[in-house]
Amino acid sequence: MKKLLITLGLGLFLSTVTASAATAGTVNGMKITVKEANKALKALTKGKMTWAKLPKDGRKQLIQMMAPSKLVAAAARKQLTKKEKEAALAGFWMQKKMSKIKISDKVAKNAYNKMTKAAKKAKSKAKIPPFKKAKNSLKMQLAQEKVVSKLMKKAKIKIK
Amino acid sequence: MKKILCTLGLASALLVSSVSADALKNSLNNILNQKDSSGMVNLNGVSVGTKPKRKVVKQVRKVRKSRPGSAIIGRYNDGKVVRKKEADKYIKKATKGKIKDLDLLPKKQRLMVLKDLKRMYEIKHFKSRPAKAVVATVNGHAIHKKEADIYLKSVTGGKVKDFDRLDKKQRLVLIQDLARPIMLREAVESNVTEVEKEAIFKQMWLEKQRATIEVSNDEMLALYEAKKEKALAANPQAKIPPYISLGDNLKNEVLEQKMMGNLMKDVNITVNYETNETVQTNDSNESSVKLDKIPDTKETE
Repeated sequence: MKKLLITLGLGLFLSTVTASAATAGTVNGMKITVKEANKALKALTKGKMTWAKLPKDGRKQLIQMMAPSKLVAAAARKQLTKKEKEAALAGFWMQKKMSKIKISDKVAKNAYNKMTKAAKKAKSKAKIPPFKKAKNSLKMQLAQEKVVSKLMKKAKIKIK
Repeated sequence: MKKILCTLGLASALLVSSVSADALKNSLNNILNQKDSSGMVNLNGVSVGTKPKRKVVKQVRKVRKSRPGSAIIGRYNDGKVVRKKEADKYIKKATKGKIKDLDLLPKKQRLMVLKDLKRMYEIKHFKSRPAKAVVATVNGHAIHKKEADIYLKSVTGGKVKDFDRLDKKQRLVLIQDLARPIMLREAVESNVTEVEKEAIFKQMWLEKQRATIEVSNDEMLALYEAKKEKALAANPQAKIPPYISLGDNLKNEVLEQKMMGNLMKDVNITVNYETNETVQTNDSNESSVKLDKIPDTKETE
């Protein structure tokens, strides 16, 4: 009895999962689910149209419209290396975090002064741009440093 | 009466002489105490004709008793004893034979010699760990020696290749560098959704494709002419912007067209016309059967 209940439960679970995964079409064998089609339609028609109401021509047009995105996603998954993927994700996360950090002009100016002093001390021949020009990139750099240092505080390093 | 007068006269003479003697003594004392301002050399302390006295300084030297060569003076990091004869040999070589005994050196220098011996011993008996050895962990993620060695090699331009040759501080700095991508990966995993990930990968792939596709001026001009024709057909009095002003817009459009063309080449699209929301409770097998039932709907682009 217990086994039967488990089997029934599993069957029910699988049927609900597959319900949302009903196929609206395929692109090179990749499924486009009805759910995905409805999501796209919602965005395109501002919620006025659904897959069920869509005429034949409309369905074909929609799947053709959705095809490039599916193909790009598949190509990206296949062709991008692990390193590239990691770099892209890290870059995205970093940008997201950096956008939340605000560096004031005063802080940027202080950092600029420090850098120019250090450059003079090192007798660097490189041309130092004026603060106005360097301000934005300097702010970005400072924000990135903040994000990284905050992140590294969470690192528990054990050297063996 | 005469006698009395003589006695009084004598007494007064004695009094006067004693008073005048005190004045002389005082004036002499004053001369002695006064500083000589005449510029003459003061020879008061010089006794001519006598031999000068020499100050005898007694130098007290603590004479250390030298220990025998077999005496243990320390231990190497692996626990092996350091004997005095090793240190003596080292000093002799270092001082070119001038000093042969460790015990002749002050404590600071003896410690320096011991430190040097330990360092040399470590270099001589250095054993690097295998490449698979875990050299550090970052939040539980293992960093293998091979990984650290590769990074070290790249950082030092090939000068240092072995992580185990670094001291404690250097190791920490290197592991901190290697920890950064691990921490970033962790942050990404916990903060970036699958949908976001897919969008990022797509964007990156498209950017890569863009970089490989070339667009010629002819192609841009052809697109411009086609657009112009279309616009004029719709409205013969339409204002058409000059070709130069469209620059990058045209290039991007050609790029997109080319990319789409490449992407949709030989693509196989099927549309399931029979699926509708009321049939959503069907299991996957059933829906695939339906797909198979409509071969005529198969669109090949």
